Amino acid sequence: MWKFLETIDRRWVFVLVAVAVIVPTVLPFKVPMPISSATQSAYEAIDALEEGDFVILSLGYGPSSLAELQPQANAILRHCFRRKVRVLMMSLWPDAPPLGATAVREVIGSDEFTDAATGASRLFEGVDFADVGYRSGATNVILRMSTDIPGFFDTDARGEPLASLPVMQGVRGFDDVGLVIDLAAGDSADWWIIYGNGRFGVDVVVGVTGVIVSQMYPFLNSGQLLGLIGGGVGAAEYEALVDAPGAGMKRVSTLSIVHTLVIALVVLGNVIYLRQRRSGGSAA
Amino acid sequence: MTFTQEIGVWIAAALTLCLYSFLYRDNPFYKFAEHLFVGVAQGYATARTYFDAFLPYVWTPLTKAVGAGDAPAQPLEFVIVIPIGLGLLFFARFTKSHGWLTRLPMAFLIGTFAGISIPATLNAQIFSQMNATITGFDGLEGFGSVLKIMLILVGVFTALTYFFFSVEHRGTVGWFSRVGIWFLMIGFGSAFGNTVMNRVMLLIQRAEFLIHDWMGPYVFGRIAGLFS
Repeated sequence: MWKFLETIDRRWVFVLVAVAVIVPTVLPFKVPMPISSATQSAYEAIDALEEGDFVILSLGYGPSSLAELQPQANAILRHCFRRKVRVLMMSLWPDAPPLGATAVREVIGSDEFTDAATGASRLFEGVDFADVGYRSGATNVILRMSTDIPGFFDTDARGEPLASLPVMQGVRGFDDVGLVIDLAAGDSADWWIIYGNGRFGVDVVVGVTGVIVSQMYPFLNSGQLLGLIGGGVGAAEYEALVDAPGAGMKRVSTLSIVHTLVIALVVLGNVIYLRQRRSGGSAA
Repeated sequence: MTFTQEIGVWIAAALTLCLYSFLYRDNPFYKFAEHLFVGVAQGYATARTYFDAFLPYVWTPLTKAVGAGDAPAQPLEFVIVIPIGLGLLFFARFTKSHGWLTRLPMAFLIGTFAGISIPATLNAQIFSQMNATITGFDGLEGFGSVLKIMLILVGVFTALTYFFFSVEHRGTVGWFSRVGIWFLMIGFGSAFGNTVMNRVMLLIQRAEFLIHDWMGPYVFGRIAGLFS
């Protein structure tokens, strides 16, 4: 059997992973969802906002990170609208605006925010939220927003003058911003930490992909971040916190199965490696 | 779902399968999907940059300056020609005799970016982190927080020792350095584990799409429709 395992075609591993993904996707099940302190901190930072406070939701991701960050965007928007805070959505990545627009559309069109009598949403663009789309030059965007947000963007994504929108009333620069929430698959979290928080003192919460979550923990520990939502598991935790099960919670059960398989394969691979080394054979 | 949306689902499903076919072996379907992705992504980014960067930062200020339509001219907006001129100097690289002119915008970019980012980055990524490492001893509550602070302190000290090359890594320094390697390996392991989670999530999302959005309604649904 060991000889068979040593020479097995790696494509059988791909088949195993495919089965581990497909079976729980077709036959979903629930797993316990303990909440990490990092996600809890992010939830508490948003929950502490008062009605009418102004929040910037900055999107720094694209379709390649949709699986982890889109459920985060949905859950965060839901929480913000529940708290009746005003949301300004902006994109620091060129392919983020359609994803942001989809998240907003899904949340404001959900039963929770729809008027039962008319079937229309109770949330309105320009009143409860605004979307200013993408601007290039991320560092410069943050620096120029610091003193004059409506002046810098000029119009929202629909072409409406931003300063005239009810959602922007009383908002000028970062002094009027209650919280910045950045959803990042790359450097945008660093930009907000360095310039938004470091230079202008604005409170920042980030939701990031699993790839970069490890490098964000020092900023949470130092207080430069008020909260941190890490990857798909973080998205599932946030959905549990706002009691709105969605794609994140659904995927995390499948993730558990695949992770178990990956750990088993890593252990098996190391056992094979150690046996080969002991017998003086090739470890390659 | 409209007909065009259904076409979109079929194209997305076909391209997803083309890309995953690489797991069996490299093939023309994978190459096609890969090249298509690169082209579409570049085209999309270029179009977005035109609408979200060129128009608001260049075209709109210029039209304001000359007074487009009934709007009065705003001569102060002409200041935009300075950055536009600097930016255009990048194209001087295409000529041998004027290639040196690219140094001007390059010098401006490096100078301003260094001025803006070095103090801010030092503050956010070095001083604040040092501060958090040192002041963490204030107000300790419980064994867990003491352990956490001690781990951070030992981790920072030993990892820095590993990167301290002015002294030979022998004896006590060597021991600290080896402990630092352990901390670094745990850090890399954590980053790798999270990266695996990220990649698996992408796979799960694609599997959900193929099963629930494509195969369910358009493959099995259609087949069931034939027999009903």
